[in-house]
Amino acid sequence: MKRIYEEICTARLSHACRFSLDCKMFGAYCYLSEIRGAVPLLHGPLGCAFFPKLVPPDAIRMQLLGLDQPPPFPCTDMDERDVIYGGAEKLARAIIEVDRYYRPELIGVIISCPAAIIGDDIIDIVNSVRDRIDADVIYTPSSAGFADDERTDDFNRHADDLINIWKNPDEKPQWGIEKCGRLDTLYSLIEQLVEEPDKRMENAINIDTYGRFHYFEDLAGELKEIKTILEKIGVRVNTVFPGCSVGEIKGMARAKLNFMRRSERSAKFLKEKFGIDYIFDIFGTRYIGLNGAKRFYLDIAQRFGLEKQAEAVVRERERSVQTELKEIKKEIKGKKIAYICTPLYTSPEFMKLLEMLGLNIRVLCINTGWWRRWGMSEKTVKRLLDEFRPKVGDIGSDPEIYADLTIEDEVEMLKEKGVDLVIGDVLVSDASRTMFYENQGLRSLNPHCMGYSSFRISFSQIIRLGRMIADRLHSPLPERDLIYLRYQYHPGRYPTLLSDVSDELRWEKIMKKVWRDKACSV
Amino acid sequence: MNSISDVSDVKNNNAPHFIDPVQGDRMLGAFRAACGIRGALVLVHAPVGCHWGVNYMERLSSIRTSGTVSALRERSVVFGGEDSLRKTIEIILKNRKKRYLILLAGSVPSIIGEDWQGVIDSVGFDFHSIALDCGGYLGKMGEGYDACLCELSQWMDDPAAGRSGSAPKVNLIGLQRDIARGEADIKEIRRALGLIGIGVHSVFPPASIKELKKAPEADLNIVFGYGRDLAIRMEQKWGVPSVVFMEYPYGLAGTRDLVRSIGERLGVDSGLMKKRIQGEEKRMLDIIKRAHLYLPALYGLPAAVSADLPQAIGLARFLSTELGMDMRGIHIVSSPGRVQGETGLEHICPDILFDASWEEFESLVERTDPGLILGSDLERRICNRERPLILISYPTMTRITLTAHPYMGFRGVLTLIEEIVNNV
Repeated sequence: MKRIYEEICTARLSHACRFSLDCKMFGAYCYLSEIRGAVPLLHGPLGCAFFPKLVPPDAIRMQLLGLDQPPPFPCTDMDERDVIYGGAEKLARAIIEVDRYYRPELIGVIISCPAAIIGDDIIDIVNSVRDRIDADVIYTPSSAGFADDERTDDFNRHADDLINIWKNPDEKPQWGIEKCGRLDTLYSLIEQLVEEPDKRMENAINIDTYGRFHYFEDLAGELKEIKTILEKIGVRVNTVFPGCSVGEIKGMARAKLNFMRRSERSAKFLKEKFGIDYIFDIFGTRYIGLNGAKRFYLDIAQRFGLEKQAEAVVRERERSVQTELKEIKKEIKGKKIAYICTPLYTSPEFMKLLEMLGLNIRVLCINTGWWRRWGMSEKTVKRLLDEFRPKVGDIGSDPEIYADLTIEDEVEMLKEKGVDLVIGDVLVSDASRTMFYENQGLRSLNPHCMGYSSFRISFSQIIRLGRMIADRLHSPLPERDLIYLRYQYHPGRYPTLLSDVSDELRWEKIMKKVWRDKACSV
Repeated sequence: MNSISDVSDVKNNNAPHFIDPVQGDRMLGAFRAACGIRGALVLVHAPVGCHWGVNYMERLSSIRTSGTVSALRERSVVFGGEDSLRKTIEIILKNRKKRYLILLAGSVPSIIGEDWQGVIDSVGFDFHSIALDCGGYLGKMGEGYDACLCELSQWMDDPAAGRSGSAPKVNLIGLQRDIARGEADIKEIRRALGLIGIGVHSVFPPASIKELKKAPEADLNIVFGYGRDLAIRMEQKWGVPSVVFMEYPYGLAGTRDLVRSIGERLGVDSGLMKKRIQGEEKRMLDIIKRAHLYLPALYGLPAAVSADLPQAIGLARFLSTELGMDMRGIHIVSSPGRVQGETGLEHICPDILFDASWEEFESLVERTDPGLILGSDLERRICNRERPLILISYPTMTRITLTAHPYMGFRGVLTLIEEIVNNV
């Protein structure tokens, strides 16, 4: 039942967010919604505070906090008079009233565009009422919607990161997400809340998690496994954030190590102020697959001098994974598959994982549509493909490689090759693609939609991946005549309807030429 | 954390210092009025988020939006956003044959005092344009809705001379297409007026430029709360008279009153009118008869309504007068511009909130304990199996409507009774 609700949330967001982008203010609201007991308070007009609470509650709030409604979003209802004379007094009173009405543990003051432009001194206002309220209070100084974030950066730089990491997993991506509204808020929380501890905990670590709208992923499952294995090694998880309480954030400095997956800026702050060392692995580049999961635990253990314990625990865990995979491998050994992907950091390792499960990758279809829609140039796409092909040579199956076929051509070719299963992972519209393949009689599976993510650090999800592949290979493939497919699609942009193509192109052009300010013909 | 407490203890009664809003601002109102007009493009001149929010609401309210954004950034605040605006206009209009642009300027260009009209005037090709200052700090949703409707009169054509002898035609102003079953409601009002020989010429917000342009040909503007300024402007410019209703036609009585009032105004034969209305009511009563045994269960059922002004008044009156429900609370979440707190429903319901912060309605519900709420997705969090929610008002984003069953008009009575009985 819950899964259906989450799928509907995803569908709703996909439908509603086409040809539009959210802003940093909304990101700040989302991050605060992932902290138990926090109430976000907007210093701005009521319209900005109206729509966020009508967006489905995010996945971290639902899965880690168990809350199925978004938090309230009170605001100062900034009007023309406030814009002229300033809204300082109004904000100060609002903080006091929000404290007295909601009795929150934390008030997160979010600044809006008008408040930022008129220059209300948010720090001074917050400090002036801090002693008059029971709740803790923080502010997000750069959450105005116009404030630049990383999405305006040159997306071609992302290709360099991909190529470097395919060559060496220890390379760190340069194209980050530090400027997004969520991470700004994370930094504010850490900078303004974390307290000097009375005592440090031995062998304790803080774990950063993510997944705002990742309804399809088992966020809680990943963390549960990490906690269990670390405990066996002798490492205690102090705080998992977000998806935690205010008290847990305050107590972060009790730990001796941070595992950060999103904000290196926050990690650096904690290191400088509290001497907490950190491991930073943005986009999950170092800890992919079975070997990646092993490395994760060994890396952490090394920081605590617990390598021997870790090796034993990990070896044991790996053995149990292999035992559980034994039956699955028997069932799927030698099956011919096609892998359809948008190349990611994780793609080469994921293909190795498929081979480890005993599958034979006969065909690899590379789809670069997502990159190009985000602003990657044709030249960079070509370079990326040229670098990706040799990586595929490292795997044993030696698949035939195709790039950017239309979905119709893809299906024709795959039928000719006689593959047993199509595994798809092109980042967008994967469920729609599965429908297309299966309507054409090709058995298909999108692990991502089924809860597998190659970015998550987990042994058990490898078993889950194997199981879902085996199940799909054994389950029937009924003849379909899907209503969904009885419309005219743009051949190169499936599942964009022909009637929507002009909207899509217009949007992409505005993003490229206006937002990112790149030259292109009108 | 408390979810309910007596907010009146905390708040200064005269000037509340926080609001958990139940409505959008001027931008959302204007966007709602403009974004569904086929043939016109809406350009939100603002940072990306201002467009994201309003677009999100409308797309999930079954509107195929025609909006986009000039994507202002930090540099626009420092150096001005005129360049972004000019580039965006070129991208969206240059290669189009018919060029109609509705520009809604958000808080950022509004505060920094940008000359967006100057940019429009300096673009190197001709197009029709309407520009509105929609800074969120300038007003509420109803004001934006009204302002945008009024400005649409700029694109209306003068009526063709010499139309005579045909059936009287009216415009329906202020019927919202983006509320639950909004399109079906329009169709039903059109049908109800058609019973007495009155045709509907245009509806506002319009579905297309064509519908908008021909509006001055109508004999009468029927205003449902929103669009009074538009009606005044049309009367001044083309002499189209208007009649204003502050409530939507829900129920047999509400619809009968509307049809009769318009018929009388347009000189429809009273005998014919009576016969047609009675005939229609009889048809509906024959169908309702199948649910006859259920109606006593609805009598005295404690209910609350949360909706904008014309919807809340019409619905509350129907539920109380014709079904006999016990109205425990009414929250008028938004209203047309210039309307204050008057509802005329005090004899039906003692607890009426007007444009209150959301937690005040939550407190009211907690206190009065209604068994049914007719409202929007905002009320989802206070409804459950014991207190069902019928999604009927804006914003309703978690249900889709593909069938043509209305809530308003004669046939709307069937849908409402069906949903209420099935939900409780």
